[in-house]
Amino acid sequence: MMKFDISRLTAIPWRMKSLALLFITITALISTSFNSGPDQNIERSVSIPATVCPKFDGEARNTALLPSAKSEIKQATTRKLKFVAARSNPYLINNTSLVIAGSEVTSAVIRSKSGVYTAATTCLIGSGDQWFIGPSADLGSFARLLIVNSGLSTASIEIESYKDSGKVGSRSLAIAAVSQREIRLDSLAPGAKSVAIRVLTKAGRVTAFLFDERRAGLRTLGGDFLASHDPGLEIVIPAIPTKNSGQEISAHSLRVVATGARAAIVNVELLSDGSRFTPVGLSDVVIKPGEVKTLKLPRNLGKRPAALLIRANEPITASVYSQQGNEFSWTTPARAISNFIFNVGGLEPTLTLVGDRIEARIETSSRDGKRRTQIIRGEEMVNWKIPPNTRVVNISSLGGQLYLGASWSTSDGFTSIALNPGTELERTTTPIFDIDALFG
Amino acid sequence: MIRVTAILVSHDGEPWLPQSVATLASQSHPIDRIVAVDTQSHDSSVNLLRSAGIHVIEVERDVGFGSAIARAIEVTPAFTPPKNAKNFQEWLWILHDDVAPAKDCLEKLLAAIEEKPQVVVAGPKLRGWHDRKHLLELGVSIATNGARWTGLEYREQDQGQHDDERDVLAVSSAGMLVRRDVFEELGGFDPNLSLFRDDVDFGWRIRAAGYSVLAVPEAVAFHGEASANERRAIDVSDAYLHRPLLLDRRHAAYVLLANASFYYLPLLAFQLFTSALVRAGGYLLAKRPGYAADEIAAVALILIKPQEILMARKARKVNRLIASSNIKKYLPPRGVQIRLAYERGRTAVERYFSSRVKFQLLPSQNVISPLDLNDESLENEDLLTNDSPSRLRSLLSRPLFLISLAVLLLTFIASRNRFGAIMGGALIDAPASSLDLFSKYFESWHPIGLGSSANTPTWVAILALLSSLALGKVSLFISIFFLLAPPLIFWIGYKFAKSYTSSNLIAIFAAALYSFSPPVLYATSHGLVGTLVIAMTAPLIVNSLFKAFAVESYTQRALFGTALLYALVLAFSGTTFIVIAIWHLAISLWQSFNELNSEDSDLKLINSRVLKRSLLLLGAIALNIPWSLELLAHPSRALLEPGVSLASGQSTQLLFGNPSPIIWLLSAAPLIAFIALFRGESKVSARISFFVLIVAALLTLLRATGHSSSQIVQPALGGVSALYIALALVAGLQLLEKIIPEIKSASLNFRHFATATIALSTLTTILISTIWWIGPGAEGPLLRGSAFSVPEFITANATTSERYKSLLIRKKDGKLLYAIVRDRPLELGDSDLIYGSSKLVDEAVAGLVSGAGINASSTLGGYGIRYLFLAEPINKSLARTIDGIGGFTRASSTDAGIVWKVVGASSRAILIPYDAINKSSAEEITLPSGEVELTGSISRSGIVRLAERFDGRWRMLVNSRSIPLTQSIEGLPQFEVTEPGDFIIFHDGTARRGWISLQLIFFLTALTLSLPARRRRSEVPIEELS
Repeated sequence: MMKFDISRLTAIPWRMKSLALLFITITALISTSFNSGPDQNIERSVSIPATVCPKFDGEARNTALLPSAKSEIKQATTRKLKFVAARSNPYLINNTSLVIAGSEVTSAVIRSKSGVYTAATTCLIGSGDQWFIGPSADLGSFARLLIVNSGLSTASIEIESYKDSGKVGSRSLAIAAVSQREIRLDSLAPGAKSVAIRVLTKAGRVTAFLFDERRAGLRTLGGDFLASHDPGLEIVIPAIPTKNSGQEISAHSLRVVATGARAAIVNVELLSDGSRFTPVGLSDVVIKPGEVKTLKLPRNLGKRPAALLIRANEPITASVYSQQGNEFSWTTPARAISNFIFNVGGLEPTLTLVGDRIEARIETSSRDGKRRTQIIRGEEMVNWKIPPNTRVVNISSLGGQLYLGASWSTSDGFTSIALNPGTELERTTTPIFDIDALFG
Repeated sequence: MIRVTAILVSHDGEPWLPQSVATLASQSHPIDRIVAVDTQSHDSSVNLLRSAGIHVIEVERDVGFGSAIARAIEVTPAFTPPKNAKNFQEWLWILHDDVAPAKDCLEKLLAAIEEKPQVVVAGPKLRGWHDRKHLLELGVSIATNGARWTGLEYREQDQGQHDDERDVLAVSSAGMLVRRDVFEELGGFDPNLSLFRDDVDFGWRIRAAGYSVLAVPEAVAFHGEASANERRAIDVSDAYLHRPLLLDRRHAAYVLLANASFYYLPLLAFQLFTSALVRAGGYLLAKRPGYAADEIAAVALILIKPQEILMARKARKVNRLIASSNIKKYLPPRGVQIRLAYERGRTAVERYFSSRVKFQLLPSQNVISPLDLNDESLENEDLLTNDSPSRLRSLLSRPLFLISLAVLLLTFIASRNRFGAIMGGALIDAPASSLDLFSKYFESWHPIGLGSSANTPTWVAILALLSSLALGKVSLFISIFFLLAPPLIFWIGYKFAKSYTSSNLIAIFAAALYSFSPPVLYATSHGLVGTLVIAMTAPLIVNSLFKAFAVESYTQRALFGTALLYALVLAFSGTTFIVIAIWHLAISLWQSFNELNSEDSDLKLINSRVLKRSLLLLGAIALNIPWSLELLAHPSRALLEPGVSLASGQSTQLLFGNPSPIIWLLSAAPLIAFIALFRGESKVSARISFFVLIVAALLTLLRATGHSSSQIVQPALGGVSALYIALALVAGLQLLEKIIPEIKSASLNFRHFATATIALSTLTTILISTIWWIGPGAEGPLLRGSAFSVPEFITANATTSERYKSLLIRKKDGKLLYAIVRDRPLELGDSDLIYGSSKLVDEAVAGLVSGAGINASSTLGGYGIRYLFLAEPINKSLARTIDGIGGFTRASSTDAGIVWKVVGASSRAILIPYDAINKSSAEEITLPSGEVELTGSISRSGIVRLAERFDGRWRMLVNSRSIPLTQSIEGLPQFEVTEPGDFIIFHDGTARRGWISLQLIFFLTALTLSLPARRRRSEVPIEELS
């Protein structure tokens, strides 16, 4: 065995040793500094909270498109904490609104009245500040606001209403625990031709939905959900339906409300059949604060679903009203998404993808279990028809911002929905156990 | 007319007799008759006496002193009074063989009693045999704890300060002049007191009989105290094992119990017993178990033979004319006894420290005399001052005084927000009393958070002990500690620096640099007790690091003393202990390697070094048992310092001695160490400082779960930084000590620049750090008052028998924090007992805030969490999420926050009856609960579940039968009770108490072995004693 000669070390001049020690010290300090320093310890977790699927009163049929038949659900108006499996999908909502246990698959509700209308909205959880814009509260309107309090505490909300001349007023309401309540819009802004509603939650977990229905006497003419949307400076409204059972939809109008304290200057661009332009009269439109303005859109928006890009210098929100005969539809803004999964439940909607440069992967799984993946590329707007027998669609953006909407027509009518994930909602800070919480 | 018969008792008295006899023969007042009694001395005492013409009566060897005197009187008839003689009296002059009266001793004694018919006993002033100015006695009494009371200080020199005649309780039998008729009337010395205390007893009896005893300072005798000082064998019949201390203590107890008032007897017996215990403890600490046994045995021997006392009391009744209360004035008052005991204790400690050999660290180390404000060496200028300045001017002209004043002033400015009870940073509220801290230390279960069975760290016990000095007020002690820490560290730094430099100014600068160093300032503003303790003990640690090179030379005392020091280090700063351990390991490897490679390798030396190093390090770990057991199971906990874990800085900041994230804290010490690294005289110290720095840098790679948090934190390096700076300062001082004389004599060169750089950087860093300290540093986080902000109703209501818990969520510094609170605010020490929450609760809370946790309420409720409190600032979105998740009902909403009630939350202890288990909503019966223990009766069989963290030491007895402990699926402790009856549930702390007992044994052993051993009296040079 080789013996280490210690004298070699001791023979090194002491100043060299000191220099070496200094070098080692500096190296150790610098190299470890990459792994040191104040720990932020802030972790964020993405979790999927339970969502609420609305059930409005009336004779219409309400069907929930759940993630799966095993999805856990409970009535929104029960104090029971236990969720139970749905056991069927689509799930027929009979009594009150449903609470669906969190899932990455967004649930939706289809409300239809045979031969009269079909309407759809995604299930969601209230953000605490919901804006609805569009419906009228005049004669013939049967628009209703549904407030669902799924929490075990009494909720406190404030409803602000706006019309074409500005703010109408506000009303504070207490919503009992685990209850839901419908409020007619004509009680909030009587006689208004176009109404915007803001539901502000002060306490409690409240989710609001709006269903617009028009009646002539006791006869229902048409109806559709009107989804809420957060105000912003840039708004994309995809999937504006242009046909209903092969017939061209000829009347479209845009309703915009300036939600801020100052007037908004709005510019609207229309994406239609490969063209992008600003319709006449939709450039530099001034909208006063609180004013709900109706802007006419061109009659012909093309053969395939269209989209609107709206820019403003102050926060606004908007929706598009489309009418064909008695039936009508509300198309609402979409948020940019990176991934969206939903159960189409056998429907065959046309997906409208909007973005500056579209690159998306669409995975479909059919009822027989077959999976199909397709990459979609395009610019500004792409429409893609979902194949027959598709059960679940998974759309992922591969780059750039992507806005999604879907529209379809059935024998009952036509509708469109903005595909906003009701479940990507909670990106929360992971709570940390620390007794520092006890000290203010 | 007076006749004097001198009676001298000899017992192996050859060393003293020649002088004693000679002084008797040369008395200025002739002695009428001298009689000697010899107790069969083994030496030539008898011959010596006979050759001096003294009549010798020989008695048995085991005859006591009193009996010997009695024999002499018996055979020596009284003088017949001459005819017409007025006031004829015969006096006995009782002498020991080791007493040499001054030439005029008898004359002065007789002169003193003249015209004082009530005086029947007189005694001279006794001075040392060898040190003739050493005042031994001037009258004697007895303290209530049995001590022989002279009222004199240790080794008090006779300067005439006590030269006034005085009435005393007794005088020593050495030189006692007593009237023969009274002596015979009272029966002489008590034969039960064969040796020692017979004089005190006799004096007491004289007093009780209505006579006076006089101490005569003009009469002087020199006493060898040969028997008391163990210079000769004690052979009297009742001297068990020939032990003088045993005999002395036994006789002391006898004297007190035989003479004191009957009503005082219980108190006296108690006092004798307790003081014997205390003294025995002291002797044990001083490694004198024999003396300790003497103390206990002496009291025991008296107490087991009460008939002796009863008979003695009966005998004393016969001649008693004066009530005991009249004699009480001759006993030392209790206050005086305490004061003198304190003075003697203080003198003993001072004597120890001033006489002990200085710890020689390095060959080059200069040991300078300790600081003295009046030391002339402090200021050379003073020598040149001709006028005599005022005291104030004199003080003001001294830099040490001025800088000390400045440090104190700056500390007060920086502490302006810390007067009163303080908390913040690492420190949380102090408990009301040190007893609370002690109980926290002894308890095996801590009802905090979800409950904890963690071993309380040793520092809690140390703090409790120290808080006892502040009348048990922990918050007062903590406030004083933090207020005085910088000045104290300055003072320690100064003393430390003075041992390395002869320049007072340099020592002051070094002390300032040390006390205003980043770890000290950061610790004072952030409540880091551990860092401050290490900063205070760093000089000792530095010494031990130097000494590690020669660990084989450690004495037993040094070994155990250092082990105690390391145990203290481990208790307050695990990282500093790790650095020390690595240093020892490195030195050990290096030395072993060298030794094995040398031609004459000494394996014994290697083994000795390894053994001693192991004892040092393992001893420190053993002294921290049971907390160190916690470290063995969770080593990363050694990386934390006491209190709430705080964020650390970048490792590069350590180069400037800064362990904190605050960039303004700087120290010039590294620059000094850098320069010192390249100078021969200072390179060793500088190298060690850089070694410490390297280890510290490597430690930053490690991570630990913080105290009272689930956050992962870096190691706490405050203590290590203080050690590093202390080492760098030593290097700097050694460097300056060498180069300053060179600079003085040399023309301008690089050394001048180096010195100027050091001075400038020192001043700059002190200035910057101080500005931070008195500015932003004073604003917290350590501040006066409590920051505990949980609504009182939450904690107050939790004191009910349901003992529920509450969950508190608060957003702070961008983080969402949560904690669980019970019925009281968290207190000092609690933070070190909580390590994270439970996985289930973590998940439930995460699900709660995200809105995804649909079962959050049932999980939290199962853990006994009844309320959820979302504290200000309220996150409205989070509030809505909680509102909507289900299982939480709003109870209130105030400015402080929102409170929800958790639906279906359990109490701390519940019974789920068997017949209800399978029902959809199981019925729960609340069992009334105390803070930890539960007692009561159960009327139905079922499962008893505790909403506490599971621990294997939970026990349940039903009808005195033990029920097996199981764990529920939620991870809670539960018991399956099959028969109703009375029950008790408790946490078994037997193991904890066992470990603490072991720790106490280790501590006392180490303390005893580290303290200096008390010498036997026979080992003390006689010159020192008398």
